Amino acid sequence: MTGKGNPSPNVVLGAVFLIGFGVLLEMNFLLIHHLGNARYESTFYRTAWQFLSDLLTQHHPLEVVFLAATGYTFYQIVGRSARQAVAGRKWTRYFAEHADAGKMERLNAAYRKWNIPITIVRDPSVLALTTGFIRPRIVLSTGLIRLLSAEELEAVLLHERYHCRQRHTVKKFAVQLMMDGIGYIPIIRSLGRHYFIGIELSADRYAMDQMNSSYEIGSVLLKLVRHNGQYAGVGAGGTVHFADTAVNYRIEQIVNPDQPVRVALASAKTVAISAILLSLMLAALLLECPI
Amino acid sequence: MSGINNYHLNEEGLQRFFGSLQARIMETIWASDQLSIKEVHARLNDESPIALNTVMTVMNRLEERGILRKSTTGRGKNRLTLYSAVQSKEQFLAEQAKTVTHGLIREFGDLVVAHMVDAMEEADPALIQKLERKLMELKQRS
Repeated sequence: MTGKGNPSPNVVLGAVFLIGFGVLLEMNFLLIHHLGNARYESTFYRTAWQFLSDLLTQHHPLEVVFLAATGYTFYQIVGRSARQAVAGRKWTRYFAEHADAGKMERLNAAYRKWNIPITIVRDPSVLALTTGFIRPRIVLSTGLIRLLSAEELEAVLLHERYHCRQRHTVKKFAVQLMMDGIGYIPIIRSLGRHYFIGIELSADRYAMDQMNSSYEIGSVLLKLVRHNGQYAGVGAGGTVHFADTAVNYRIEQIVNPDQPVRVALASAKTVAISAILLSLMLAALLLECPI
Repeated sequence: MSGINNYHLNEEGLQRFFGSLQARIMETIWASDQLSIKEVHARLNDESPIALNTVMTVMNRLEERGILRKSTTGRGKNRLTLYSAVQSKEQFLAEQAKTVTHGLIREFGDLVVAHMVDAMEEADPALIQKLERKLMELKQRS
């Protein structure tokens, strides 16, 4: 299942992982090599000082930059993972405190065959989301349920069901880690963004196919845009530019379901800069650990 | 507008955005359109005793945060300062609900894989008009 006209999100995901893990592997090599060659002193601080002075005086500047990038990357990855763990606990507590038991029981009974837990939270906000790594769940708010008709709610559930079945929670988190950790290689950011848009297009297409109509999901999007109150219609000149965000591609797909929705993958400049940076990293690795 | 920086997610209704006295003041003003500090104090004092200074401080703080607006009429002894809400209760709650949604998603991070409100504010009006026409077309066809 994919938005027509684009590479499948799984192909994009593969590209992110290929570049990302390649870079991480190089970084590990470099780190292990440096740590292996370090002279260990009696205390941590003396060892660290020894390591740093050796690095700055005995090595090529390219290696120093690469090692700094390695430190930044690991810091970002560990930081994001820790923040996410804290956020996960907050979500769990929030769900438990705000669960609407009656509505939840009825909806879970109606969709028992899906084998996906559905949580309903008492909240006037309009929330519809998929969360959870090990066993993804769908979360809806009572504010959303009040806003939508039964058919529209089903379209939302189908959209979220697709995210659950495809384990997009884990995949998206992994992509986000890559974007945080090695986002300084611009192609990672472009591919990540493309992946995020791609999974939304695929989830909408799944809902459209299952319902055999694009009406419901289109109607949901329209209601949400209106609910957000940002839509004031086209201005007098009608000169409003297309914003390059997921919602616009999603609307395009609904308006022209048979036409390909093309999402730009990466500009030539992005590819060129990324290729130069990746080559420099490889050069730094070869300088340090010649074959 | 808004002026609300802290949300109490575990509370319900207005208590989510205001302390209990602030919420009572806002309810009183929404019920009466325009009131002076003395009038608000008199109404709250009927329910439970409260100092005029406390009410004055809280109302001035709400005014500073852009939630209340004050207007002054008359001069000298006839001078009267009245307070009214900048937004109706419905407008206020609708705006806050939206802000809370975005706040929730921001605060809780990327475990939230997809949310339907994602970037809705960046929807292209020209595309939305196309969507409206498409939906009308689909409705007529069915």
